[in-house]
Amino acid sequence: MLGKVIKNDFKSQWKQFALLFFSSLLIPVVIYLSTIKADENLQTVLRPMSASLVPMTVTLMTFVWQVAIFGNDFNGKNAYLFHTIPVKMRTLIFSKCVFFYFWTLLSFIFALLSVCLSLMDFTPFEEISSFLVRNWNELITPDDYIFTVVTIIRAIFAPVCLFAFICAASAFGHLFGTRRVIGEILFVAGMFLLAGIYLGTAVAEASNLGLSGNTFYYFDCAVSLGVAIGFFIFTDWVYTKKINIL
Amino acid sequence: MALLETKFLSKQYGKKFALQDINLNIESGKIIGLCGPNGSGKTTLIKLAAGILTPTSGNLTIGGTEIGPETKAVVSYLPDKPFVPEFMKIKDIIAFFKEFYADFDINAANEMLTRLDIDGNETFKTLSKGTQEKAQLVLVMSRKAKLYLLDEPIGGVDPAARDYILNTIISNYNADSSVIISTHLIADIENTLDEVIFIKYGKLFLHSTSDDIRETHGMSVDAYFREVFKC
Repeated sequence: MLGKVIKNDFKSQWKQFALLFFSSLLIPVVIYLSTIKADENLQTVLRPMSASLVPMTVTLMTFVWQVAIFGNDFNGKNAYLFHTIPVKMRTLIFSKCVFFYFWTLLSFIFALLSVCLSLMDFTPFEEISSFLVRNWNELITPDDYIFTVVTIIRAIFAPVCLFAFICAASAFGHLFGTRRVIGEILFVAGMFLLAGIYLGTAVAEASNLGLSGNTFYYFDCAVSLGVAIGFFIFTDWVYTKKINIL
Repeated sequence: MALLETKFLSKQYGKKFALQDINLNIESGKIIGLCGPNGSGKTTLIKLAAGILTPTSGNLTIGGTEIGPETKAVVSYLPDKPFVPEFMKIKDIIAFFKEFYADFDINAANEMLTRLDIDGNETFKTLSKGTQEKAQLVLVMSRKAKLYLLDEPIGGVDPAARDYILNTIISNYNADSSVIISTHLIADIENTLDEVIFIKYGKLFLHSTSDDIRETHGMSVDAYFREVFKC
């Protein structure tokens, strides 16, 4: 069933994302072509503007659309269709997670391509790229391989954790019936509050617990993973045992 | 074994009971009218059986199984509002049904759509309200399900469309399955009903055969409904 759900999700989503990603490449090219013979001052304004605004819009819209798609399919106007197909809830959630990851990753790639296109043969670009390379080399030192590997794994799983957070917020809102949005806002606010308390306490108590430096960082990664798994279990439980499509 | 069975089924929205202590047994091979005035709990009962609401207390089984993916595979549900995503093409929603429901008869669906002159390349939102309702009914009735749950299928359409919808229901359901039709337009469907369930203020008022009502009360089901639910 998972294959069918993934296939259906892809069919229903790919066109809007393809258009968005295509636009992210088209806009810098159009700006480049239209300003190629223009005053250099105009280029200095328009091209960096394109290099910052287009990638930001692409990543932001990808995120907003994903949240909207999840909301529509699980609580909104498509809920009647999606909650009556003979598929386990965890399968539906997993499929959404796969696409959240896929589209987020693509949005980053296209955002990067868009920056490159916006700034092609533009002097500041070389400075920016050399700055990034220099910092990357300083960050990824070969002295601590475990730290590097954990950081890469954390970066890879970051969108999954973000998706788990969205799922749980949506599920918590679902428990509030017609006041769903209030529930979602309360969840987000509550989680930020808890995260603040956790970080404050954990940082203060880290040395007492023998968690210092990188050890604290690994502990924090494990907590994040545990919370994400907890969010997925909570979402599955709400939409399986407490479903109320009004 | 009963096709649909409820035991002390209750559903509360806040402090208000939408359904209270409903005990029902529905056998296969019947067309059942689920009747009651607006707000009596008809839609709630259907949604509970479709698996999109969770009971507050009591239980509900279909073919002896608790509500879940197994029961959704044998229940064909028509909600009282549009359930097809509005930008979806008709041929895509047919493909969707074919993909997810093993009992979906694609030939029957295409045949009915052709008779209704609905083009598969049209998006759902371009259809008129009546045609949308017919198209949704075609999808639901093209399944060889064990239980059909039709929530107000004739509520918002003209009399000619009502005839089409009722004919579609009668000609597409099979002897092993049952159809539950929620409506307050009893006169239009009275002749097709084997059994009738009256729900009053969330409680089961009556579950009887149509013939029994006519014999016992000496009036049509519609006339009896009007008497019971007189304001």
